[in-house]
Amino acid sequence: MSERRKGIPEAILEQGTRMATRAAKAVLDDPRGQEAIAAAVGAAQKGKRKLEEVQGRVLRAAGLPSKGDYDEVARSMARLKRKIRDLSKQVDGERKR
Amino acid sequence: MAAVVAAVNRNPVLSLALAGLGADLAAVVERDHTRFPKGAAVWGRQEGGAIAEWRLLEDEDDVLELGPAYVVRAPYLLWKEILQGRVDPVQASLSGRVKVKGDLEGLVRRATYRYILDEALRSVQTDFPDEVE
Repeated sequence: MSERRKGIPEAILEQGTRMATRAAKAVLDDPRGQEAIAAAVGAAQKGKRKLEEVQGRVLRAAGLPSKGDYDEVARSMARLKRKIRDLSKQVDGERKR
Repeated sequence: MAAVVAAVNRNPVLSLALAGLGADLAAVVERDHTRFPKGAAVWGRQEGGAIAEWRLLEDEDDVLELGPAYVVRAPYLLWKEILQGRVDPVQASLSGRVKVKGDLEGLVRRATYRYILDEALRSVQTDFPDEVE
């Protein structure tokens, strides 16, 4: 019933997703396939890291903050947020005494 | 959570599965406005071939401060499907439905060990917040 209500593009997409999932499962179940996927993922991640390094160098040379700088700021803010939370708890505890 | 960690740690091949992986991991359940509005995050650290330490994080942003080797992030409904065994976590990571920060290559290479977690999850009853009355 629900199949009939779907449009042709949705049905094609759904069928394609099902086939891709089956293919991915078959590849992952085979140790050689798993190794090939792992190597491809590793190469892609290495490429992304290289690209980010180059981007960072270019941005720093232009006097602009890089992704690493933003990450460091986010980390500092998270630390500050946690310290405020801890202090609030401490103050609440003191008040209750 | 404690029961799942204990079940995982009882598995005799766990040390093989964890060998060579990063020291710690955070899993983030993204907020779902209707089903799971608070969201959740958990962090765990491995040492000596077992999960040595874990804790539920009070705030998702604590993940930023901890800076774990891996951050695995997905919406609530997707986590639910993974926990129910209806979605393969490795395939979901490769397709980008589950976002993984860290060495995904190392995790894919250990995909054959995912039964350790599956078995541990099966041994523990899981209540989902959107099903609890």
